[in-house]
Amino acid sequence: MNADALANLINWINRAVIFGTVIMYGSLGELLTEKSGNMNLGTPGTMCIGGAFGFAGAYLYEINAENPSAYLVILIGLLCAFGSAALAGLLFSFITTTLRANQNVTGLALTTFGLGLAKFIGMIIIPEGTTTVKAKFANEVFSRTLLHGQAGSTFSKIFFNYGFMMYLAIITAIVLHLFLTRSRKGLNLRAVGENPATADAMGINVSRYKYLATVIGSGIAGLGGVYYILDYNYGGWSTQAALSIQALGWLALALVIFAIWKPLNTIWGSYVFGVFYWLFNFISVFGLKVTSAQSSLVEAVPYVVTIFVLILVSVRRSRENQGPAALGLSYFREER
Amino acid sequence: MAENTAVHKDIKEPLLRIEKNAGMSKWKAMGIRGIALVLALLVCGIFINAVGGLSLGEAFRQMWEGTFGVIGNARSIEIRCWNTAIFGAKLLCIAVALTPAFRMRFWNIGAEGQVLVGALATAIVMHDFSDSLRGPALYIVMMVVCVLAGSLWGFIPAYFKAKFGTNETLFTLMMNYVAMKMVDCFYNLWKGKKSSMEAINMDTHLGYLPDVLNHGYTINIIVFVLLAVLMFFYLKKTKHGFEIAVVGESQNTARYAGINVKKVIIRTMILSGAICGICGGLTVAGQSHSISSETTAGGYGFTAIIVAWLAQFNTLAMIAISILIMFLEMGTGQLGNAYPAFATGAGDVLIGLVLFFIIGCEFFVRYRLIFRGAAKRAEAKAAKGGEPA
Amino acid sequence: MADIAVEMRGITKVFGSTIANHKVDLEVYKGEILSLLGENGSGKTTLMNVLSGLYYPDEGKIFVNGEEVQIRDPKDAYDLKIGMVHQHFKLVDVFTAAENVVLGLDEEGRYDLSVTAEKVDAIAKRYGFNINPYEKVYDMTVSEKQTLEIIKQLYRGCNILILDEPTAVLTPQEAQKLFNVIRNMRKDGKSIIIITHKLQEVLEISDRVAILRKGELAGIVPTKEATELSLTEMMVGEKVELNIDRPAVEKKHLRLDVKHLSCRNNEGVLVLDDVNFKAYSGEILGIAGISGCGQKELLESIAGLQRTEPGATIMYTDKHGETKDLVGKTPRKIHDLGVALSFVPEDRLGMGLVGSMNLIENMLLKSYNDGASPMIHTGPSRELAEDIKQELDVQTPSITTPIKDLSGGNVQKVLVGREIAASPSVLMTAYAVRGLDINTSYTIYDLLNQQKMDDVAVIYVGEDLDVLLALSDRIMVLCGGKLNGILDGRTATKEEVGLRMTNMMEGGTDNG
Repeated sequence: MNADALANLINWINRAVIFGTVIMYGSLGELLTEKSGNMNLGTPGTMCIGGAFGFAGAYLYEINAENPSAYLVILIGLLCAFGSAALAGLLFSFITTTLRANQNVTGLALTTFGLGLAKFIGMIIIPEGTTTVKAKFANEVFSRTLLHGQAGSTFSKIFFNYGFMMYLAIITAIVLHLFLTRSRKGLNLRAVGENPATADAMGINVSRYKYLATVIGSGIAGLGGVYYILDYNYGGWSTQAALSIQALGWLALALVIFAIWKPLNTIWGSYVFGVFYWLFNFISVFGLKVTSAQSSLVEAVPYVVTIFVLILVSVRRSRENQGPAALGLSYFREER
Repeated sequence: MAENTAVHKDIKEPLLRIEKNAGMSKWKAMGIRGIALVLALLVCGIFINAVGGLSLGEAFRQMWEGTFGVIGNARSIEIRCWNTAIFGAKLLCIAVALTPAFRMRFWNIGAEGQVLVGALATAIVMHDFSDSLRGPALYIVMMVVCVLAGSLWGFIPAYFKAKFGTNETLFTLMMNYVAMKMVDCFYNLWKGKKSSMEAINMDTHLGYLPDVLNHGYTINIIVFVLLAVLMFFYLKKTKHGFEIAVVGESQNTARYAGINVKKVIIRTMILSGAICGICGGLTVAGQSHSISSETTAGGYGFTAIIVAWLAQFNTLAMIAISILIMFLEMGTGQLGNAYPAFATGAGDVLIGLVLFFIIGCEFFVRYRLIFRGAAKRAEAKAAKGGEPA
Repeated sequence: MADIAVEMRGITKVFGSTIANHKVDLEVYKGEILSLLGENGSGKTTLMNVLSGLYYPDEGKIFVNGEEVQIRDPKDAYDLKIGMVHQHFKLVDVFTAAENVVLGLDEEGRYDLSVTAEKVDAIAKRYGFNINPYEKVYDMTVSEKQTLEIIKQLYRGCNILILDEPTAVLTPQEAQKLFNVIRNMRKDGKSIIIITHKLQEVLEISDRVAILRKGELAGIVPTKEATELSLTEMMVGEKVELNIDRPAVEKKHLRLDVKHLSCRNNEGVLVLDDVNFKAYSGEILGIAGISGCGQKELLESIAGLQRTEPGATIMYTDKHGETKDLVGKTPRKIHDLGVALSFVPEDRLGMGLVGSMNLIENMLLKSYNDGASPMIHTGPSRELAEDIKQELDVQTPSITTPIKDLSGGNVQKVLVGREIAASPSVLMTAYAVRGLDINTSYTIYDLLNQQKMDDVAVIYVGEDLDVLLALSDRIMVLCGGKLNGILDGRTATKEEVGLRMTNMMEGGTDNG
């Protein structure tokens, strides 16, 4: 392999990982939500909201501050993204858990609403007469790598060439894994998603768990949105960016299934999705040429693979490695 | 009083309890939904006023004009009404396609994909076989392939659901994106070096539906509405419709009544997919003459889910809700044209708000709230009117 | 007497239009076993669900250790050391025993399942259980699941333990083991409430008996002073004089000849083991057995709803003497073969009828597929619905009211009426009078007798032995899925049937 090809390959991996990180946030958030039995099809919209508000917060701070601080821009960006997305999750929880409405319908409405709200917020911020605006400073902070722009070894280029949020995503996945498998609260949460009637009889406040899991999950998903804008999209906001976030949101839902509802699987799963997504750009590494038409088909691969995983899980009928048993159902104690 | 609370501070009836509401009258239920709609519009009005600084009346006028045309201007009314009719009919058609599946409690959220594959199949025939197939044969093949493609997209998840119990919500959702990427593939193929794809058979108009009443899509409107009527009778009057209802209510009862549950699931989803496929095929042949993963189905596959669910399988209600959605969509589009503040996103925000209210209000139809002390008050009331002990 | 552990005063709980409990007073002492006795639907489980926090009472007060308390949810109940083992176990299938035990607990210290496992072992040793804390629930037998449920409550330090029909799913040996455990708990000063409708158990295990009748407390008596008869009277309300007719029919014809019938349930356990019997027209064949010993599978395999093991034959002979084998046929195929088989299943609204549909549509269930036309014809069903409403006096606002809004008795009238209207040669009923009031029950008995007189072979699965003995011409007893004798209904005694239900006899007789 010549140097060009190697550089190309490393570049490919870098793009795939950054791409994967966006959907990893979305899918970790959705995973936490689904563990409580809530299927939130509003996650794509929630990610848009997180992206728009996170971007808006960071951008408004950097253009108004005399000497913007890196720490503050991170804090503001993440807080705005997490907070706004969590509010969207709260809305979903209120309608589905308290008002017991159908989760699919509510989720789809939330996606419509979220995308609209994101576009709307963006429009307010984008100066008149232009279609895009860039948060330069925030982008610089969010995409600052451990390499500090220096040429490192191949190893460090593959593993250290990312902004901090890529590592934060991995940490989130590990924390989520430990929470679900090694803590009492995690056990309770899984019980709520598996069998809410049992959880209820064991004195677990089913509604509270559903609310908290959905709100925090939505917040995590929102981080994916802001990461998309401030790192993956080089800090630029446009209406098209909102649409892209939404599209990645659906991919995040697929990733939850692909990972068979296990947080650690989302780490490598998201990168695999990323590799496929960027395949067409870098496939020349293998000396192949791909047209844009063929690349569309390659983009379908993650969805097809997810379908196969879904079928496999149901065909094997093993009691393990299934989604939460009560996924998508509302719970009402005095139902007779 | 204060003492009392101090002593019994742990003793408190829950502030609010919820009970199932058995048998609310239809009128009362409609009243609740009406109140929800009014509240939704009120919130929308506040939003519109805050954002654009215009009154609710003015906003409503703009939205009306965007949907039904400027009152007194025949030309405007004609253009707007036709536009609303074709998109409304399309939304209705997809909602109607979903209805049998939902009745069966099969969560088909793959309408978007089913519409797209139908459209794609028809487009391929138009694009590649217009020369070899002429006249009626071309139209017949165009229609047959869109039905087949849609059916296939419905059949695949149904087969695995029936056979292995595979989660149909997630399955059909994924099938949407496979369909979108396939459409993207052909779009890119056909657009070639141009920046966007031009209409298929732009010069020859081969495979285009004929103009009726000056519009190529008049036939679409007729077919879509006809399908809605037929579906109404299919569900209400045929053996198949009865089987679907029984399977949806209880698979055990269905088996007891001699119904082959797996067969019904697969058959119904083929039907659901087929109608979506027809919708896609007609859209290409009669309306767009082109294909795109973003506009051919245009998200209607998802919106229709909300329409079908809100209408609770009632075709008449579906028409009303389709019109409401059209009013919001076309109306906010017009609002965006007239006021730049509403140019991007605001329309979806308004639609989302209205949907949240309508979705949420069903709770007040199905359940009833009991506030703390209600029992005691009722007791007191009864004691007052009751006979001495 | 000892201290009162818990006291319920004036408890009322209403569901929609049905009053499940009406002003019930009950107290339980420390270190006693109290039986809560009552017929199905008498409100036993509802009352205990109130105590365990699943339901909130519409009226009434609860005192624990003399202090008034509010039990808003199960957590409140646990805080008061009240625990309940539900008939449908509240366990998470994909969790281990230990995980289920700590579920919802807010213990001090680090979350460590090995500590839990040790504690579980200690509890098991103390009271005489057997359990593997690391086993997943989906790998457990029913009896193991129940053990786990009880351990779960003990782990939480419950002093008041409620058991809902604990022996319904157990073998007699397992039940005895359970009783020993319960006695050990009593020795420990705990209060145990057992919900049951089995008189023998009540007399065997409890110190006092509380009897509920139609949601109201009929009385509380010390077990020493109670007899089966006195308890039955309190349960039913008046001295039971079962005056069920048993008309004799001269001409009998073979209708069903079942040989080597075996079935496995979803878990692959043999629930029906090589059953052989014959059913004749002009007689009622009663089937007795404790619940879950194969009655359901027996009827469902004849109706084509249950897969049978190889080797079985179910020969059906129609009124013209033609025979057909029903094994391996679907319900539709059986219907299309012209087999006049009617079946009143145990789960009325979950299998026999559709709750959200009205009377006409429920009539259609049986006949919608008749004729070659793809359309349905509601005409005949409408007439049938009217007829059944009139003849059986079904209380409903109209025949277009959804069935789920009807009372249980009226629902059953609709179901039985429809099945009889199909003019069957064989009529199978499962728990046809469960939860019905006396009057409706008698209506049903009369209908069955009429069918018997009309040359129909009636199969009656029941739980009330008195009724079985009074109604049936022959009684077939099932024990753990095996046939344990077919007795003559006129000569058999309750003791004999009861004994055969729980103990396999050598050489079960077949007088058919």
